[in-house]
Amino acid sequence: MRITNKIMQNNALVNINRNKVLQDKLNTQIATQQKISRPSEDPVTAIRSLRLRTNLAEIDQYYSKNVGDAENWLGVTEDALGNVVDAVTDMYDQCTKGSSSNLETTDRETILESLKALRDEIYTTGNVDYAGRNIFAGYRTDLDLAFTSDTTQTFAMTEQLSLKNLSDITYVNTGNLTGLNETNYAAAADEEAIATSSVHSIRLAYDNIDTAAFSLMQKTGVDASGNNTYAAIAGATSVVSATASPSPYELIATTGGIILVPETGEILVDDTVYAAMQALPADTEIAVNYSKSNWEKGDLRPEHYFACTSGTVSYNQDFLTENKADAQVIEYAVGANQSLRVNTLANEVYTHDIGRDVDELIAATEAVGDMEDIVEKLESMLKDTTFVTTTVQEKLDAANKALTLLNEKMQTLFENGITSMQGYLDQTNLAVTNVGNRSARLELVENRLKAQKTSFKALSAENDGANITEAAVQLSSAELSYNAALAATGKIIQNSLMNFI
Amino acid sequence: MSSTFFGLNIAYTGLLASNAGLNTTGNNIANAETEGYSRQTVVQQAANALQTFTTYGCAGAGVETIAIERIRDEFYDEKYWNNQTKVGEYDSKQYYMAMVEDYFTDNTTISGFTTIFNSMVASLEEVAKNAGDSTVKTEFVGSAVNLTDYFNNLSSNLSSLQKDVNSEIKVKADEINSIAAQVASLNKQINVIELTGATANELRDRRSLLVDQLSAITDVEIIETPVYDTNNPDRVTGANRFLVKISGGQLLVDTNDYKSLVCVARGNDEKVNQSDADGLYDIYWATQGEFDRATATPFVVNSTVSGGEMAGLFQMRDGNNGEYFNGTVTGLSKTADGLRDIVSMEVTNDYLKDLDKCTLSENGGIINIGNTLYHYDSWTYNYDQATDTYSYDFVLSDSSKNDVAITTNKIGKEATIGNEVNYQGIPYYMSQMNEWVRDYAKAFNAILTQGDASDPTTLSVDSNGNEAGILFTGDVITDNTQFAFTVTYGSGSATVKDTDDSYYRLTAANFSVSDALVENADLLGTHTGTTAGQDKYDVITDLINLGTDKTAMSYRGSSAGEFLQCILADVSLNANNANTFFKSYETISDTIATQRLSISGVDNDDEAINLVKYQNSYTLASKMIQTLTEVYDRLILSTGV
Repeated sequence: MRITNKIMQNNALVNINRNKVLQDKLNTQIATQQKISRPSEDPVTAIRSLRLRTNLAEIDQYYSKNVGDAENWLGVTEDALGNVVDAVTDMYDQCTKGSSSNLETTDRETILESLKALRDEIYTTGNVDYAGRNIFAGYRTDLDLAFTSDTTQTFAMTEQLSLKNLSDITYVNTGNLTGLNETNYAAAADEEAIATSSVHSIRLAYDNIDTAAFSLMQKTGVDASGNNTYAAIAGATSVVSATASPSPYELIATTGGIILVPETGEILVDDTVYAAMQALPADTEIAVNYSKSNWEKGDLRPEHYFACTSGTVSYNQDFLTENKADAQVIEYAVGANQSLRVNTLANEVYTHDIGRDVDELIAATEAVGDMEDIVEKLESMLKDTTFVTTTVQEKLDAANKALTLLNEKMQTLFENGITSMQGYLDQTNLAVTNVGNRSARLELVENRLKAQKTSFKALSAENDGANITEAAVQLSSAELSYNAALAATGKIIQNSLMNFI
Repeated sequence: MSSTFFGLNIAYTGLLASNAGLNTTGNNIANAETEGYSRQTVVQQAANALQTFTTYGCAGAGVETIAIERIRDEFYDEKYWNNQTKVGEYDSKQYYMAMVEDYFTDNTTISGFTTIFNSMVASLEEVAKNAGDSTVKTEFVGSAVNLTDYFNNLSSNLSSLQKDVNSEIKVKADEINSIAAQVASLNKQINVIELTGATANELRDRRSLLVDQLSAITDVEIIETPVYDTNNPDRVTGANRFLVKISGGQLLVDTNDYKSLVCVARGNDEKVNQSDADGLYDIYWATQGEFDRATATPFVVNSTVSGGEMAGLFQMRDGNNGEYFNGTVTGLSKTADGLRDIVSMEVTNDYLKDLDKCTLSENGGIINIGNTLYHYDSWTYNYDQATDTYSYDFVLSDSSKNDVAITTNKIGKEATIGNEVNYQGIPYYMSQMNEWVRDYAKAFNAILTQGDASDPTTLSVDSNGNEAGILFTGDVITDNTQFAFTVTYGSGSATVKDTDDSYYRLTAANFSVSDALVENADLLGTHTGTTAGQDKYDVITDLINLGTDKTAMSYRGSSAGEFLQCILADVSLNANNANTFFKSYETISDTIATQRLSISGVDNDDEAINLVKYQNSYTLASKMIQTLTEVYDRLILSTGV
């Protein structure tokens, strides 16, 4: 083949240019530390790089943000639950004290005061928040768990209970001794009238409920659209105030039927109704419709517990259907398709029963105190000659009997209290344990995420990063051949035959 | 016996030949660096011998200088042109693909789709953890705006790239016109010279150089045939007919005549694709400057037979990956006012059945029905579930735009809009973006607005318990409102007009976030159930999963978050292809150019030798004359006097 000077020049230029392209590529690799600067240089690397960065971004979200937030939430929950455990333990101690048979007046008052304080404390811890959100309130984190001030708002609610809630309570008939004073003492009841009786009762979640009509129902099944159907339990219903005379507890024995005592939030049933209810299958759901308008500070808000309606707004209506919504569990994503529950729900720790139990203990203790005052008053009247001694003595006997009965009732309640407080303590401890388990799991997740993050970073670096050593060596060798090419080209293009003729 | 002065004559022819040789050598050396120059050589032969009727027979009569010819092998020219066509095509493609690649870039320094999408999902995660808080929701809405901005930006970048390609098409068309005029003019001059029997070396070189340039712009076919004397069919006149055909055999130059290309910008009602830039050119042929669009022949750039930069540019500008509108006419009817025709046609391609993939313009366009072009004003998409047929009804424009009314003999004929361009050009990426934007917005909004207002427990609501609205929408440019997507399709029978408020009208260019949510992020739907509590986040979880769950949204068999992976695979493979082909054809081009140079190129050493050679022969011829002078001197002055 005929080679002209032009061909040699062209070829030399092409070769030198190729060398420069290589040098440029290696130089860019070293300067940017990246294997490729355009996706088209290596489509596979470029697309893998995108995937790896997506993975890294996900892990970073889980590791740097979600895990930290979950830790904080669980930490706040643990602290709050610790307080509840302390309070319930204290209550347990107070119940133990209260159950001892020889209780001085001062002891009783101390117990009374500390029970009141502890009851408040438990429900205040329920309102604990984390970054402005109530942690025990499920999804309704903007709503306090318990009312923070006395409030008037009418809630019509359906409390769903079971036959287990039907129990017997002891009623001490103190006649009209409670209102005894210097002028009306003669009309007070006699010793024979003072007695205890057992009454069938269902304790509702709240006391001081509205005197409006209520209904006691049993669940009969589910209709076509999945809503529960209820039928009223047979029996005449009435609402009777606790202060009425005769008291509803006496009335239930005489007129019978179903009586709601609004002040104490109890539904009393007579033997016939009781027998009818006992005859139902053990798992039958019992529902009570009632309303409550006056709320005291510390009352648990019904939105967190019951299907209820306030004005036009309805809450938890799914409770009354076949398809009950899932519990209001907040889960944080801590991995691909992996989530960790962070919140503890109020109904796992804060039940109405603790408050109601304590209220009953307080009421019983106060009743004993009141009766002691009456006994004291009668004793002082006995020393006073202006009163008819025999009558006073009679009333004193009656009062003493009432005191004894009330004391017995109180002690029984305290003894029962020991058992139930132990139950609440177990329940709270279970919640604490659950939170602890979650924290432990979170720690494992965190470690794993850390490892994953490192390995994805390594993979990403391996995929995207240039091999600097290799590039540097290649660059040196490219430089060498570049210099050689320049030298050779310089020689070639200088000469031609013309120079020699 | 020959003449006494015969020798002087012989010496004279030698002198002439050497002189011609010297001059040619000089010309070669002078043009050593001239582009397109072919080295020339003197063709000489021994002159016819003279019968001397002597014992020694014939006497040599010196040398004849016949011609000065260029040394060129036209076989290599043709090879070079064919290859230049490929080089040109991939040169355009690699340049523009590199731009597209830049636009889709997503790396540690430039935030692209994946980075933006990931950060949007990350802010959704924050909302899931704290659904009642307005700050996190505001942040999320901000990141959603980033996503819509990204698509707006990308769409406008691709659109201006399409305009750039379009302008370059005009430049190339002008270059073709200029080359055609020059070639025609050269043809004339060459024929004038060659009719005399000479060879127009320099003019032919110049013409070849022009064809070299033309071959990079478009594929060329050169046909050169000798012209015979009409009176005497065996006699070659010396003139040649020189035809230049381009772009798959379309005649550009016929000896002295040439045609030219005229670029006509499309009107807004003539767009082929929904997202095409304004004013894309249609090119027509004009003969000697006369042009009437109605009757002009269109200049065809076909993706399979055409080549060169022009083909590369057209593929970039119009490349739809072979997905163009085509259907079979099934019936004709009239509009309610009876003034305009409606053409119904059934479609069978999957991409035409799904309106989310629709690329038809919403401003009317031109439809080719049985090889007749008609303007249409609007169209309607129909799906009949009972018969499982998909059809489109086009309302044709009235006689102000359509000269010829449609007749029933078009029933059963094929109707097309645009052409099948088997390349992933700008319209392809546009339609891919539009499809993703529609699919994602539709799926996202469906999650946000799930449930029915009649059932408050399953209704999707914001954290205040109010019914949630859509997040992703599109801006209606004309009246500053946003789409509400009241007309739906995709499940069961549907009838959608192009002007309806449907997801079809959402494109990457008008993609946006609902103004209401931008103003107040608290309106974002977070959960189902009006009174379920502000921190319930089941809707948000669904939204997060939408990015990764292929059953919730599948885009080309991948999840929504893998959009860029799919697109980048196309872009980088196309760019990679263009680069590879460009390099390999360029190398071949170098090789062929070397071959050509090897034959036609001037070599300094050659010419140095020629110089010495002709100088020597000139000197010798002169010496001969001197010798003969001495001989005559002796004969005339000293002999016999």
